[in-house]
Amino acid sequence: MSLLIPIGPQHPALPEPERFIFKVDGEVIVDVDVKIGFCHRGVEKLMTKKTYVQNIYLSERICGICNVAHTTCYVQLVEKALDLEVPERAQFIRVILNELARIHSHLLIIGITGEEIGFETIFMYMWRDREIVMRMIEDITGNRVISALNTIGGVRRDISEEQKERIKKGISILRERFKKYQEVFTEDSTVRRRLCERGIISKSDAISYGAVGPVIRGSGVKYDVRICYPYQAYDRIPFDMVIYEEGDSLARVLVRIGELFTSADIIEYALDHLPKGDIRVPAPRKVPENDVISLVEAPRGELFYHLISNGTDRPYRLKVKTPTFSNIYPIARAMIGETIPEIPAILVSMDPCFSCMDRLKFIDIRKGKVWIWSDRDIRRHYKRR
Amino acid sequence: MMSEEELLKILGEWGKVEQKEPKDYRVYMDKEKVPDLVKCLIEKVGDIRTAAVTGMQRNGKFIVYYHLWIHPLDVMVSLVVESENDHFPSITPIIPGSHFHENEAFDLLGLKFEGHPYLKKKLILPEESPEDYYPLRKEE
Repeated sequence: MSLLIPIGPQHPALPEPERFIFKVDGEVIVDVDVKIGFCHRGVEKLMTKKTYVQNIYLSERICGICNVAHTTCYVQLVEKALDLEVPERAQFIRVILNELARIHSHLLIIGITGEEIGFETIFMYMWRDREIVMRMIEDITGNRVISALNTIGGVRRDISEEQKERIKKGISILRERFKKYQEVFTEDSTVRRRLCERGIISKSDAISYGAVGPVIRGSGVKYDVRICYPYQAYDRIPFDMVIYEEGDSLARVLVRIGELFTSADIIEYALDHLPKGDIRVPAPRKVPENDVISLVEAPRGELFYHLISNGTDRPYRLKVKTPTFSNIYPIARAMIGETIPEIPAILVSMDPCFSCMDRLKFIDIRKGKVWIWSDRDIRRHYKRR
Repeated sequence: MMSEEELLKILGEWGKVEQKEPKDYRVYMDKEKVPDLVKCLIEKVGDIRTAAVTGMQRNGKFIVYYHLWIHPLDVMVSLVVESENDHFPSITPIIPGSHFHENEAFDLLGLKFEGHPYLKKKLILPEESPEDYYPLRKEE
């Protein structure tokens, strides 16, 4: 069988499910080949056929979990091309929503990391706490997942005083839980044994292989778009970048846990310093000829949009580069030299989508044997050991 | 460590430099010189990460943007090259992380990156899609 297409539930998080072909020598991985694009929906092409306003909702649907990051990046791009000044209050509201989205995305992947290493209790705890954030997002935007809050020129809904109080209360509950999770991931010996010194990416490799987000920060590189290229209100909010030098799976998880705390701080600061005023300014429909790029720190890393406009109400070319697209290659390289049972734990430390692990193909170079395993087979295999 | 002014001086020797925003530069240059400039930057400035590669077709010409993030200075430099034909130099032998970005442009626009060690068809498009089918090419 030469055609291998994952037919299964597609995780809505990312536009890029992948197929990995591992070349193994006994248990040890010696080479990895990647095929991506199973979820390619031609969004870039479609965006050139739709108007700028229609594209807000299209960009939102590129990714379910990072939908806020996608719309922030898109509207910011169009505002840059239009040279449009967004009201300060709208910028702060965008920051609050972005950080709430970051918290729920990080909680999800930390829980999944626990599940992949056989620690399923933590996954259930995360699911419970994630609900608090989901309710807060629903409170602000009216929707749990697809928020539809950002629009060109500002935001569509304001945050009231009562909502402020409710968010602050939720954040204070969450902060206590975050402390507990930090304790679990730094002190539990099972967690350390499965994640520590696994899938190491060195600092220079992280840069030259093009890693972004928690993967590059877990390797000790100071790159966070929120600090390096401040957008929206991030330049007016004090916070520190979370950096770990080790470059292993545990470092990547600890970066995410550290970012939960910074996100909580940012939300509280932004709520306390929310400026008064309008939340939206009118925007023209046609965008003059321009060539701009826009960067946003999505939960998974740097999100990149590039627009070439030609004076009409539709983009001439719109390039979208998502964080996982950058992170697949460094993680695939990091798996060389590791054993088969470690594959799920290393893959999940990158924060990919589930369908990545739908089907794995193994080639034993000594015996010349080829076989196919699903994610479940791997787990069953190493639980028996 | 090198300052941003010194970087601009180096870039100025290779092509026309334009500042779009703070820490965001465009360099309009000849396509043949791209690998040499990247090698020169790695030697003189430090590690470089490929943020993205944008390929496009305009007025019958192909245009490629290599968006590079210069780590020590934390600056985004986009190298802009234009060509009548669809052949472009690859920077994957110098920066391995450019692999997928260039391969994507090859798959969707048919841009042939010369010197790319693992350029393969159907990285993104389905394996059963027709040969010589490039969805992002404009019908002009």
